[in-house]
Amino acid sequence: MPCALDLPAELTIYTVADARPRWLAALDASPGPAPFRLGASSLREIDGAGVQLVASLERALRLRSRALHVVGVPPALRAACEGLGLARLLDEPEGDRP
Amino acid sequence: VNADDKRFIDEALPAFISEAREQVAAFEQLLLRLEDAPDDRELLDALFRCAHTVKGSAGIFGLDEVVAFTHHVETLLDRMREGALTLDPALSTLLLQCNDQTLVLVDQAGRAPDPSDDDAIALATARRAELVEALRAASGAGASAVAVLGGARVEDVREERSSVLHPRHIRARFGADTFRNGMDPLAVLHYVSKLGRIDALKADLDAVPPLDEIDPESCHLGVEFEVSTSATLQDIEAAFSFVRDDCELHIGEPASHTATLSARIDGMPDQPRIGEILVAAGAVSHTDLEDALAIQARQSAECGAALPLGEILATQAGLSKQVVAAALDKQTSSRKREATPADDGRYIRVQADRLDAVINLLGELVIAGAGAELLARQSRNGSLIEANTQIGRLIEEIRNGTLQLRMVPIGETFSRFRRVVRDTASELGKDVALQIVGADTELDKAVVERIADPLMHLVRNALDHGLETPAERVAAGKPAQGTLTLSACHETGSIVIRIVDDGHGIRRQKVLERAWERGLVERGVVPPDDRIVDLIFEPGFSTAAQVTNLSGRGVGMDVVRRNIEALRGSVTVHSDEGEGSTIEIRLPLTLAIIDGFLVGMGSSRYIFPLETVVEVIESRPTDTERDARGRSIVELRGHALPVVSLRELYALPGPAPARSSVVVIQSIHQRYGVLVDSLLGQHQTVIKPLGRMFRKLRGFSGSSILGNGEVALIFDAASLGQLASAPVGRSPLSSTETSMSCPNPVPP
Repeated sequence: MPCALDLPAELTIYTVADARPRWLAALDASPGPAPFRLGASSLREIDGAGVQLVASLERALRLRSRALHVVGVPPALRAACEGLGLARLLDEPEGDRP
Repeated sequence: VNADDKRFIDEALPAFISEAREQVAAFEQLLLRLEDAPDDRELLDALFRCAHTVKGSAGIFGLDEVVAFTHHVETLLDRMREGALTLDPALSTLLLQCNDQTLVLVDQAGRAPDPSDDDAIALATARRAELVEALRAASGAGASAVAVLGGARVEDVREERSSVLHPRHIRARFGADTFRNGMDPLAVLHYVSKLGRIDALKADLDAVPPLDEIDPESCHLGVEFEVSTSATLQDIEAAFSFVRDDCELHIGEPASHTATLSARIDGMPDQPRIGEILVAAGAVSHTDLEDALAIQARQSAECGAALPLGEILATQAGLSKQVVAAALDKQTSSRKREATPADDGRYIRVQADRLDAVINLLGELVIAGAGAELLARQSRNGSLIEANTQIGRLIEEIRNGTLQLRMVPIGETFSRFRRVVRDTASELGKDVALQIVGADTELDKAVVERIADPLMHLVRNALDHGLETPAERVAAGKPAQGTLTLSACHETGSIVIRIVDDGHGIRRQKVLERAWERGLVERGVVPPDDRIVDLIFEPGFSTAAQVTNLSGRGVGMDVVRRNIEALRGSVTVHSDEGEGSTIEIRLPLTLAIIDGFLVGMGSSRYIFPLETVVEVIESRPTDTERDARGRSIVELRGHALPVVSLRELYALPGPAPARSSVVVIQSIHQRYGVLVDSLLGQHQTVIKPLGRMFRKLRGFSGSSILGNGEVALIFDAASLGQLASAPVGRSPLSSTETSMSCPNPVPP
């Protein structure tokens, strides 16, 4: 299944402002109610601002009654989410297993 | 560094430089205060924060040298905070020297690289290397490892000092500017994780808006966790110190289960959102809250209105009404508080030139207002006069308010001398305590700035020439430690600054001999005692047996006097041999506008500063004949009042009128009367400097333009008094300007 959105290599305070409009467009372009697939395999660098943006995406999805499914989680993303107590963001939603 | 970063750095660097300079100055003050009170924990903490702030913000700008250097200072301070070291004079000197180098580095960062500075920079670098060695040695051998946090180095966790682990519950909500300030909660938590084991880490995402609304560069994150650590509370707080300014940080014992939820909500920090309150209190889980929020959102999407969150939670999560009510109370009270924040310590920084521009305009307004009022009075139109009076009153209020804006306490200038006294005294092998009195006395900023150099000279002079070495003092039966007092107070419309030392005083014989030698006084002539002391202010006078590098800088006391007189001030010295000296500087409160009292002499107008005018009496027959300078004595309520006639003192033309008045003036040490032709009442006076022609005229401090365009000279009560009491023969007009026999002002 293709991803609705792919994360860039760098998602940090330097790139979040540029990323947001693209993500919003992707959000609008991807139909519900299936989980929103976020491709993370290219991500190499992420900071607190990046994690926050992912959380913000998840919140927007929740308001649209959709789930977030992060695909191809790299170690950097896992470490960052765990470091902020957000490992659950990376949990696969039920019903989206291949 | 990309272009955006570079632009950001270019824009923000000046602010960093000026802030860092302030921190360096504060560091010095705190350190000197700490010397007097080495056990003051708060001072020590404040000192640490200064160093830490400089280091932290230097890190943001990539000023690695500053970071690396202040890091060592911080390590030493940390050892002091642990109690492993106490501040002694040697340590204090080391820290002061380090602080100087920090300033050098900060200044260097603010300048464009200049090849001609290379030598100086190399010298400073070598100096810093020495200091770092000294800091290392002082901090003890346990040199700590260095970790990297958010781009800046911080000290790694030291060897566990004790194996006792304390569980701590930590809740932190990071400030909105955290990311923009170059900080990252992730890095902070990473650092905390080195302090101990982190458990039950939960992100607090309640404040994170959905993607549609988020400003991704603002930080909305919060975390809550427990950490088992042997680190102290301060260590944990230190982990947050980079983000501390706008981070809500709560460190406590792990939640106790016995406390009731309502009580906990009551004791919580203010949070604007009811969901946060309930979650933080442990009343509902995050999941409960998320569900409830989703329900609320769906309701509002579907029917345009939603139930309050509290009610949804009450039905969904089985929350008791009482708890919801407590949370609602809390929310209401915190919102109220937000609406009226207690902004006691807030200031606006204004560029001094903008303020000066306003004050210049205000001066014009005062003059124009006076002109309008004059015309109104001439028109004899009652309502016009009334309207003008009202405007005049408002102008006066604006004037007072605006001039107040320029007033700054002199304490800042005074406290700069702590370091000077400390270093100079030790250089000279003297032991001197500096006392500061009246540090909150306010005066015009322009005056403060221009008085700093003369003060510096006088302080150095007192240390160098006035105060003796401990051995000499003990031999003279005085305590070994000398005292230098800087004091400031307001007195009759001026500010009086005194520099008092308890040294050996001015040796009149030595002064006299030097004056003879220099030809300032004819050999063999012995002037009165106070005149001898005054000789130290004569150009070309220096009593130092040997020129030291302290006060012998080619700047004499004559320059000090000239600088003070340029501010319309005066300087006098009193000295008792063996007891010490007092140098008294008297300055006007402001350089711009004063309340004046306008008098007329013939067709000319003169102004007395209103504060110096005590009363006005009708001229009466004098008890004595007027002497050649127009001086006489009248009796005022049983006391003899010396009265001087301006007409005769200044040889003004024109006959005396049939009736005249005496203005009674209170000057520094005397009260005297001035005989004038007519009284013209109170007048808002915009002070203009005296033109070159009038500068040598004695007794005046400035000039002013009246509403009708006429020029009036402003009297200086102190110098007029001196002039009037001077022996016959000294002319009010300087000897070089004898051709100017009449000080009648002429319009420019």
